Amino acid sequence: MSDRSVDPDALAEFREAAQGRLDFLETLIERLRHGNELGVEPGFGLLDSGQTAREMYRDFHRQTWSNLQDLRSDLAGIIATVDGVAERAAETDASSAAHLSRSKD
Amino acid sequence: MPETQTSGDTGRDDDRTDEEVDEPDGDDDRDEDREDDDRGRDDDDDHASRDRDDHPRGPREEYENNAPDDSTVVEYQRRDADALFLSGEPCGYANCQNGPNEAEDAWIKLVSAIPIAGQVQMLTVETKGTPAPSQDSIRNLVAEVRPDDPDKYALRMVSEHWQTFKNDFDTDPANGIAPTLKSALRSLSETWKGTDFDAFAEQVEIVLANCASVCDDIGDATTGAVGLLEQKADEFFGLQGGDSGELPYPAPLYWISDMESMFTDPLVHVRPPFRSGWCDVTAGCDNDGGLIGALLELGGFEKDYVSEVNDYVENQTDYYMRKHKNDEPPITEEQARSWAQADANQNITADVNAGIDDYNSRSQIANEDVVNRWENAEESASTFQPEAYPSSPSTFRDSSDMLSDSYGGLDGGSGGLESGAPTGGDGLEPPGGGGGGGVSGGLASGGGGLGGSTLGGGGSFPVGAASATGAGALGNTAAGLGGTGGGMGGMMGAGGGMGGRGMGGGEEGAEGEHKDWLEEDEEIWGIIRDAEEDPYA
Repeated sequence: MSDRSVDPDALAEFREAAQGRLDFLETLIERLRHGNELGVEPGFGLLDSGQTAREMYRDFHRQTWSNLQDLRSDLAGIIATVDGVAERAAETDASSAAHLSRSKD
Repeated sequence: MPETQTSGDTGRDDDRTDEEVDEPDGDDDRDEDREDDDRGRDDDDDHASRDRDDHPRGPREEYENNAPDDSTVVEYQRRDADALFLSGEPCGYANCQNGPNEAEDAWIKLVSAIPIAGQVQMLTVETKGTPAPSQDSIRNLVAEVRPDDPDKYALRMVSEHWQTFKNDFDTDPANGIAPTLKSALRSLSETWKGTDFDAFAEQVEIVLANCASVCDDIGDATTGAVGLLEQKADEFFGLQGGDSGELPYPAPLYWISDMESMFTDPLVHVRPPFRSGWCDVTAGCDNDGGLIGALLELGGFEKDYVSEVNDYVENQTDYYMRKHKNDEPPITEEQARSWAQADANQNITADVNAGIDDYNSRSQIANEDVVNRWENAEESASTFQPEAYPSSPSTFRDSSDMLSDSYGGLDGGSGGLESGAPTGGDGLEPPGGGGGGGVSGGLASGGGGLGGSTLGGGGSFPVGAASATGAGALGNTAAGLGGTGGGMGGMMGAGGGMGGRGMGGGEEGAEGEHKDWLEEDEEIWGIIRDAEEDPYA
């Protein structure tokens, strides 16, 4: 068993860190919402080229939002993966123990 | 007199913007437009869209109404400007030659951009020998051209919010997402070993690289979106007077009906900027020198010019009375005065002609200054092109357990830290190739640095066989991000900053007991040196 070294406590610690960052990320994303501090367009005013500048900014904002959502998914996936590993490690331990105890019989 | 401006002022863009303001549905229209744009863009973007669609069950929140779309604010700004300043009626006197002044339209656009917070309170007027509003007036004028709560939209304010965001997101070692993850992964590596861990860690590396990519998109004082916002803020601020706050102002237009009868029948039209309807007009002889005095002053005359002229007329009248007192019949005072006034007209006309020429040259300077600054502001805004690049997909992306399908592989695990002959050798080739792609231009050098960052992580990563696939995946990552880095470096003229793109990966956080672990090969950053050769740097 190559994963015999998996330490449930270490996994739990990692999971906690990842979950904490996921929660934190959501507060950061909040800032980008329309009306919040990063949810405003830079004031290019009535400059003719301001129209394009605003579109460029929205593209940037949109992609950054998308990337942060990707990160959100990634963090959730990391947590799910760690959970899966912990679960299987526990099952493996249990079946090994069962197997060992049967052998003794 | 510039003749380029036409009555097209008030009509511009109105059709389109009416919908946006009047109909809430305008939002939908704009969203659709953006989708169209997205479809037309490069493959990376399509890829990102597809990812979104393929994994709707992730905790992803779509953009939709979260876009910072302030079209309504801008539209009201435009309407205010048109209503208050630019839609004025012409002078009611049909022959008046005071027409539209393009400097007025230019001035409105120039001051409508908001570089920094609290700017209006420091504005004054820069005079170039033409009349201009008082300090209070100019502040009110600018405030009226800008939206309510203008500081919120200040470019530098937006920049500062992004800098704060980046600091919280990444730089802050206590809260930063990548530093925390990295540190946690390092700890985890102490107890979890094997191919599963390697595969897991490799994917986390992709996530870390994505974090670094977000930071690079945001940028700093000279790179990324922040760099552009700062640059444009500086430029607008400078064009609007800079630290002195001295704004130029369009010159009043000036028209004299009949140069041959300036004294007896002065009809002078003075049209301050943004006037609607009649000019300020003087008609008839004003012995007090009131309005005509003020008007002549605009033309560069001394304030007491009018009284001088009146004295002159009195003196000339006396002169003619004395000279012709013995004529038969004797000269009447009326006759003498008319001669004197004719003399005055002649002299004043010459003086006024000179004054008008002088005024015209000064007003031309003032107006050209306004127009030039506006054109520079347009140029500045037209190069505002911040870019963010789609993150690289990880196997976590669908928010599920990436190892669940590979459980059988657990038992086959071998290798681990000890046998970790770094496969970075393989991994390092692709970024080199990416840099080679940069032969097509200095642009790609920044991108090479980025590729290096991602691969650097993988390269020194002490993994076993599992890294073979990882190298391929990472290679793709490098290629994709490499292209973006190039565009960025070129755009910002700051390839050096882009070279630093991957720096987050090699950060100080590596100073733990696992310093060797995850630490990038210093050589990888050699690409930064390319920045010095970057023609854009």
